[in-house]
Amino acid sequence: MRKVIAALAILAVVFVVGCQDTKKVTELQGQVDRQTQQITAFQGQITQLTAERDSLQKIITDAMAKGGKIQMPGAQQPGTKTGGTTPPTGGKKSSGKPPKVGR
Amino acid sequence: MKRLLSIAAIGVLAVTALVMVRCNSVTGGAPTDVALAAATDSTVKVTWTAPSEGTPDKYIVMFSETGTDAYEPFDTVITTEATHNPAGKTGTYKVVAKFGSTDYDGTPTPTTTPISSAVISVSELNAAGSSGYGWTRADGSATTYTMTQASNAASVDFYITDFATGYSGPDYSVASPDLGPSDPTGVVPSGSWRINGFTAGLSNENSALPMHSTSTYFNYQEISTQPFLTGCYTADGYYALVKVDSYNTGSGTAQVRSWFQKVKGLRLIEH
Repeated sequence: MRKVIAALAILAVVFVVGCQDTKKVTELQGQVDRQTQQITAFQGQITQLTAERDSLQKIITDAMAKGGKIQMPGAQQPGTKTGGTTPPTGGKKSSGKPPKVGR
Repeated sequence: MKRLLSIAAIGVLAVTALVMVRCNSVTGGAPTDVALAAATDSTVKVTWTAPSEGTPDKYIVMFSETGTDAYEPFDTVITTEATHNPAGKTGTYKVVAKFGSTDYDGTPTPTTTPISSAVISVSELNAAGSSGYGWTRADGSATTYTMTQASNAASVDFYITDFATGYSGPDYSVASPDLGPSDPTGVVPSGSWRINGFTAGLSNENSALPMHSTSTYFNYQEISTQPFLTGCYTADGYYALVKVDSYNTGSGTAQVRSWFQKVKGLRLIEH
């Protein structure tokens, strides 16, 4: 009788401990996956910011070399027709263009 | 000694039983109704329905970038949803339910890869042929429509115009449909035409489109280069990329292709 009780007790303890471990591993694996995802996202941001920094440095370097005015990326270029909110001017057929309005 | 051996044997049996059943029933099933939505304009929320056969030990949520075949797990959860930051990438999602050591692949495997449409010839507003272009929301396919019928108002997302009579240009523009009735050509009837926005020319057709704002998206854009890339934000909240390969003021046509993001509000466009 004592042997049976001891066996059942061991069986119960192993099952309880085993189940808890399984759940704990699942939770920890989830945490690891989320942290890994965050690291990946941060690495992407670092790459993008580094590229932007390098681009700005190049613009500044070029402008200083030329001794001219610094033209930031995305700003309206003289003579181009895109960007900005001002309706572009052009030949006589362009007069029908509506004002450029943000959407 | 004999007693100790008996206890050890029982322990081994218990561990073996635990490994076999893994605290759950061995029966299992696949998740269903796997679906995508925009968590933000650049992150994806994946949801699904639990298998009817029972609760799995866990779900592994996986992503396969557009252009690749391999799935990479990005989250392990015990709920029925997960959020993914794909860092500007698009791709296909799969949810796997794990019952013990057995995997059950969920269905369907939805994707954020934009729907690509082949080159279509779109006419300038005064030229022969259809000058309206729109995407069917359900499947992302592109179709041309005439702008002379108000019944097409609910289907058109942009049209090609030189904002003048005739089609000799010299400049063509991609214009929001709601500008049609006020276009100097006077051929577009009034109606509930969509109020869409377009970005200035883009340089990379696989980068995420600019975030929607009224300082970035405008009622029209001149086709200033050939080819010309512009991002579109529709009145009902979808993003798409429009590429005008070229246009010909002699024939009054523009060669247009596009990529439509079926996940509403998501501005990822890698293809």
